[in-house]
Amino acid sequence: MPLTLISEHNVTSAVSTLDITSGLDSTYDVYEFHCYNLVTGTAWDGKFGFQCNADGQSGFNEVITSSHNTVNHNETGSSHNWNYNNSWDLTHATNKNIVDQYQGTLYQAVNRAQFSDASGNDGYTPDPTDYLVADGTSCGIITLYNPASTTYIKGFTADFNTMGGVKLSANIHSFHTYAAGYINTTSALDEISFKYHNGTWGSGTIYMYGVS
Amino acid sequence: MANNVEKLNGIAITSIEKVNGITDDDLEALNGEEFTGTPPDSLVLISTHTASASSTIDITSGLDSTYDIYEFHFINIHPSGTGLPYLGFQVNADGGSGFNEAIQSSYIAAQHTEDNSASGITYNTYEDQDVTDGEYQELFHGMDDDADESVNGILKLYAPSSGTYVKHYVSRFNGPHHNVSAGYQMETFGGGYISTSTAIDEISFKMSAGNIDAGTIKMYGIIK
Repeated sequence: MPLTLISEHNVTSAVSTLDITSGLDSTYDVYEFHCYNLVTGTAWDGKFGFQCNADGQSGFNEVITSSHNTVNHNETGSSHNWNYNNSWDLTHATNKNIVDQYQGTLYQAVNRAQFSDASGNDGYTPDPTDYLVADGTSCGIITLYNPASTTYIKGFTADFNTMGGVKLSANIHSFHTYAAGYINTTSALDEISFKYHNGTWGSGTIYMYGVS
Repeated sequence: MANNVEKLNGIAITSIEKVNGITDDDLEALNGEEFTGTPPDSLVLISTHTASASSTIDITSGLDSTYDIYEFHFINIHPSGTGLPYLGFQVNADGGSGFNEAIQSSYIAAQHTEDNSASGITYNTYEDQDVTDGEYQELFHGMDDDADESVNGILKLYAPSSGTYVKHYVSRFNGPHHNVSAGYQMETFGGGYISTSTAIDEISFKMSAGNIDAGTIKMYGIIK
């Protein structure tokens, strides 16, 4: 399974999005986006996610149906959970369906937020008393299948691990997230965008590879 | 293959025989610009470690800032002895001693008995760690030494040389699993972080009981 490095994208100061607008074509059937040491740019954030743009279209707003689950273990050892994630954000109108989408057009979450409220809800109303995890990051790989197809939808999988904190405490967690789904279009995809759902993206690197 | 580079860091290109172990004849690209031809495979084999009744397999070189992501491929890992041991890993921080870093982790396993009497997927609290434990992190538990049994899988370690952040890992293994009452096929999914901001430069693998009787561990770096 040879991997070919196509491009490297570094975020060294806060940005709202990082768009990759070249290199996603029919050269490879499978593309991998290796994301490492992602750090939010604000003291509160949502999850890290991606969206795509179809060839000849505008905007990162393709239709996605997806699933999202997280294995969660806190450093005090008092919490061990593995959950399908579909309900955290239902009370947050702006974040609704950001975890698992059903024919949604939002950025698809691939991890758990590095900050959440006391109940584990991501993307909540900012609070200045949030616990800050200074050395916390998120790392993982997004795999996108056959983006150049004009016949089929485009499947994706993601596998991330995140160090995250919980509001008002030093209750730090390891979040291991599996996300998967498909971009429900038969148009070729030629652009991909990444961002944190809330706030900004402070730092991190994405390497784009083709798999042959 | 054309080669348009005359010098590299002041050294004549004709005098360079190898770069990171890749011979000049096989070096097809450098920073994606200097050479023409087919780009190289970005999955670079660093070292191969073959077990032979090994109490531990310690890799003490090659884990550095050369790559941001390292992969360890486990092929046909076969334990010796009974007691249903687990295969685990630990790391050592640069300048430290002993494989005993703090690890925060999670672990789930999907299981299916060979007689189809049971199946399911569960979070295994006995296989995860809190940061206070400092033990070898389980990659696959409940192994047996039946002659035809082995376990395979991949461990991915992110940015071990960082001097700022914790180091994340994810793992996925598959093989035969035993407990006191039945034999299973089992797939495990591990994830977590080594809770230190000090660079990691050594990694160790061992069974919780007995030894690694046979098998191969291949260490790869992914070109950045």
